[in-house]
Amino acid sequence: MKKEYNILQYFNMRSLFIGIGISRILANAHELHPISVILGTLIGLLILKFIKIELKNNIVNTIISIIFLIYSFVIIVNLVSTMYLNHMMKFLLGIPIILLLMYILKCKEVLIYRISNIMIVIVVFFFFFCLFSLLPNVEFSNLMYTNVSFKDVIISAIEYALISTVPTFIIRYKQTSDIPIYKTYIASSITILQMMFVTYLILGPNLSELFRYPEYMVLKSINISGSLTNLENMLSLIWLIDAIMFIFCCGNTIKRQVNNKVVLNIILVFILIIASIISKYYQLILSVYLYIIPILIISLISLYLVNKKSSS
Amino acid sequence: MKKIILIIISLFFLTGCKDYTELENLGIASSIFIEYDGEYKITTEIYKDKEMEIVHSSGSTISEAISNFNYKSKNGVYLSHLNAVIIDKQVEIKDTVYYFLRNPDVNTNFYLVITDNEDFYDKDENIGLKIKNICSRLKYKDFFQITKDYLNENIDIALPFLDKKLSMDEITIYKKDKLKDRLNSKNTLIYSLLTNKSSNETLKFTIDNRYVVLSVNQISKKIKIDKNIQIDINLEMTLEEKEVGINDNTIKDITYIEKNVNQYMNDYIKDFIEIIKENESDILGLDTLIYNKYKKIDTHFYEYDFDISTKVNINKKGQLLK
Repeated sequence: MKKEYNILQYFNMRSLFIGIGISRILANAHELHPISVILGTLIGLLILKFIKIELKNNIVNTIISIIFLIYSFVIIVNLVSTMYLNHMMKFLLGIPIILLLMYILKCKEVLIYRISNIMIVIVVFFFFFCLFSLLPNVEFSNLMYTNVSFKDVIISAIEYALISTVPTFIIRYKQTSDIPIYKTYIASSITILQMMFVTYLILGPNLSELFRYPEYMVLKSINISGSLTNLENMLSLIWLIDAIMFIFCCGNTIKRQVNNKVVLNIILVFILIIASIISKYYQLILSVYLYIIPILIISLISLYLVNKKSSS
Repeated sequence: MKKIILIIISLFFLTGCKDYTELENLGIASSIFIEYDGEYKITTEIYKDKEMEIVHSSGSTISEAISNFNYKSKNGVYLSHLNAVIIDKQVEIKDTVYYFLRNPDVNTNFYLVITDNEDFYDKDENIGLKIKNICSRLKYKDFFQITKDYLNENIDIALPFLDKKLSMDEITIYKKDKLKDRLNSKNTLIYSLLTNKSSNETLKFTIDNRYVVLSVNQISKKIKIDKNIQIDINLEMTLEEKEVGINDNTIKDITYIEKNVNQYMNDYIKDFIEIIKENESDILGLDTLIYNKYKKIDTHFYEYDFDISTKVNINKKGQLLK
């Protein structure tokens, strides 16, 4: 159980980076982003160490899970809509995800852990394939000085810590709340740092702050031996798996809290509608990206206050 | 039963068939030629079975002109396999860069080329692919690298120039958005040497009224910013051809050729630097080095004096002893 739980948490730690985390940190911390990530990892470890919670039956947990689920939904739908199915209605893009989620939630909880066990193999293989295919295009001259303030580095570090740790609290159930996830957290930070560093060394300061999905753009330009192209799809798959695993976790928490199939399905349909409305207006999508940090802070505080684990 | 119903419903939504286009209905573009004279005129070269289809369209913006393509062709334009984008001198580089960067359907591996030629498309020849192959062989920067340079305010861009014979041995240089000058083939070659890590360029030199041809195997360069800009270049070269009368049999002969070629290279690089200084076009990215060193730019590269030092080393001379 300990191993399966850690694997599932690996996906949760990376789930909100797609379209938000990496682009924000690269745009703000520029060439000093490795310092931000390392500082952020340290802050994250402190958060994981000192914030001990055990999810109880509470409406607050349900609301936070719904908010996170909407977030992941909007992120996935926008990724697919921006990169692949530009002309398709965003509402239709959400339907397969909701159907998949409904099916997963009908089954036992252990299914989510089993899926994560299988997916981790695919994700690790694709990650290293992407990473090694990017290495020949690295240019160290891109680490040029860009006048980044120390304040931006610290803010980026805090953002990193929040984006990577808060999603992990969504599956701190009674039987799993004591399982340590520090090693997994460090492993996840190393993979994110590697991808960020290589992306920055290829794009440089100007291009990396221009794109919503900088790492995707990098892979789009990769051409191995003149024939192996479109590697960006591998990365998209990694991000999709990360986000979908997080969706399963949020859904599972809602299921535990609600404990009623009909109400659960109504909530999921409601989430699909809300996510579709948000995705319809670009101003709302931007707000989702913009206010992620305050939302994560409020969620973390609320989760802590409601589910605080007594020291006894 | 519920599972079966769920699977059947999923089949309709998971296949991604909404608004699909069959491959035969796609107008896969090999290249696009963009002209501007008050409005954008676009000529698109489309892959067909055995020959290329050339479609003309126009509009007040690039995107309008490209979407007007759909009124002219039975197939909708598809830009994912673009090999080259050719622009005329009137087209704003800014508009071109941002249009193609924003469009998710476009790959970023194509080559951006400039021309003053209006009629170069031929139904029997894939011009886009030809441009891509030439640019790739000559190691010109592709759209992705050009964009990187364009967005960096301390580097200026250089685009290959497509002439009337469809040759690309010259480049045009920019200062920010403004087209400044066209470099001749000799200066283009020096630009390639100064920006590439390796090269197969061939250079002809005259020594004692006889010619000698050398190719470049390996280049290493160091640029140091101080009171002056110091450029040190080491070139490893192969003797490809020589006119009868030039000896290359002894150590003394080789040293004599190296010394002469060294002087030539020094003069060529000085001429090249003078041209980019005159145009204030920083296609070598020297201002970036100044910025990296001083964390600000008080003096631009064109205000500096240059010390050029070249070292030519002939290390191969083919199969002949004499």
